[in-house]
Amino acid sequence: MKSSHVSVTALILSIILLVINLRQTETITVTSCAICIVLFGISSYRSIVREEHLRVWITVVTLISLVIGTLSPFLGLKGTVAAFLETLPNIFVAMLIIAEMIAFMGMRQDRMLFATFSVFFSMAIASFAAIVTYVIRIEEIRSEIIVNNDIIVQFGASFITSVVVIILVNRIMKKQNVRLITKEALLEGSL
Amino acid sequence: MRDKAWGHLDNVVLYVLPGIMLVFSAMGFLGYNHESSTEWYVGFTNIFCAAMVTILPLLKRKGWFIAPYWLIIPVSLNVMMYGISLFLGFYHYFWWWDEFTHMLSSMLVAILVFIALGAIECHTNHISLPKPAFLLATFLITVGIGNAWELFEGTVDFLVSSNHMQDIDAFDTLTDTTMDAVGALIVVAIGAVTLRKRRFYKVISGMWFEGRMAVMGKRWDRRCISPDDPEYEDICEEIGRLKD
Repeated sequence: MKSSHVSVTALILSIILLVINLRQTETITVTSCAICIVLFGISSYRSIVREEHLRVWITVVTLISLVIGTLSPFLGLKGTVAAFLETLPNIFVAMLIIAEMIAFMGMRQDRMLFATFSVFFSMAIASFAAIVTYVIRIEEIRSEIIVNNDIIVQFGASFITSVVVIILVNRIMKKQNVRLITKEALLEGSL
Repeated sequence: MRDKAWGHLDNVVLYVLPGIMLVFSAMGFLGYNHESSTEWYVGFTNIFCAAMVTILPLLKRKGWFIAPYWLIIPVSLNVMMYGISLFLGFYHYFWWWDEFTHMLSSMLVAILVFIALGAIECHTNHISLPKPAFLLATFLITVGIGNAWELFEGTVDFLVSSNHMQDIDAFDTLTDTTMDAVGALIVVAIGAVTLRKRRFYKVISGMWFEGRMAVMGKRWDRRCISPDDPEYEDICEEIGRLKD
């Protein structure tokens, strides 16, 4: 299967996941899905036009995390455990944003900058999710079904998950002796 | 070099401003603060603000980052404004105060992020941040820092067992987060216009002691390549030359 097909498939899957999450009013996963639709849309378009495509593993891992985030309400999980699962896609979406910036904007980064950007981007996504919650679930906030503590727990869960994932990713990159992440490495290279 | 850059005003910023914050902290612990916040919350927040205010002057004293007064003083006053207005209960008296301070703080943080990323772009060869990536990164990192601030507030609240943040409605954090994004967006828009003029890079370069920052940039470049790379030795030699 060609990577360009993977991007298009990922785009369709993200749209399906967005619809499911919108029906469930799961605003955290909705935000990640919406960002992914834009990112997969760009990579699908570029893949078709210029035969450029991101490495398949980035797309696949992000999609798996989105599916986990979507499934968590169906498993009846609540509270902190649900917050961890729902915010899991944040860090992968953040890495996907950086990957697209490297591949399509020509940004070049080393491991340290990649890790720093990933954690901050992930926290920014958590903030966007909070803003989406503000817009979509305003009635639940007014009636205090959602309180401040819920938002803070989600921010905390997102931060902890991001740090753990990025430490693991950094270890893998260190083992593979990846020093510089470039466009060539992401589009066709050995990364 | 340090003596040239270090003036009397820097002493004021380094010693007097954190001193003021520590006084407010002590008064907070003693219970002189406005009753809308607990003594511990005000006390610890003002200690944190005092520590934050010292960062830029200390970096300047060490010669690592020569921030100009137009940056140091607004940043310090902004941090102080948060702690002092919490002490005086401005957040209780004026509904718009919280939103206003968040937007202002976010703008200042965005300027710092903008300068930091500009320095990386200026002084390294292997790291590259093209304009769209540069602006997007500034925006996202600033919003991320805003998120970290909310997390910090929640953590302090949890540690001092106060109910200030935990049981109030979620509008507080959500409007703060929204205003952070608005502030970041304003600076990014101004930054996009500024970046059209290449001269801005010169301004960024001038904020550091050129030699030190150049060495830092070269060291960063060295980390980006393998020791087997022929360029590695050249960079090592250049670092040695710059150090001399």
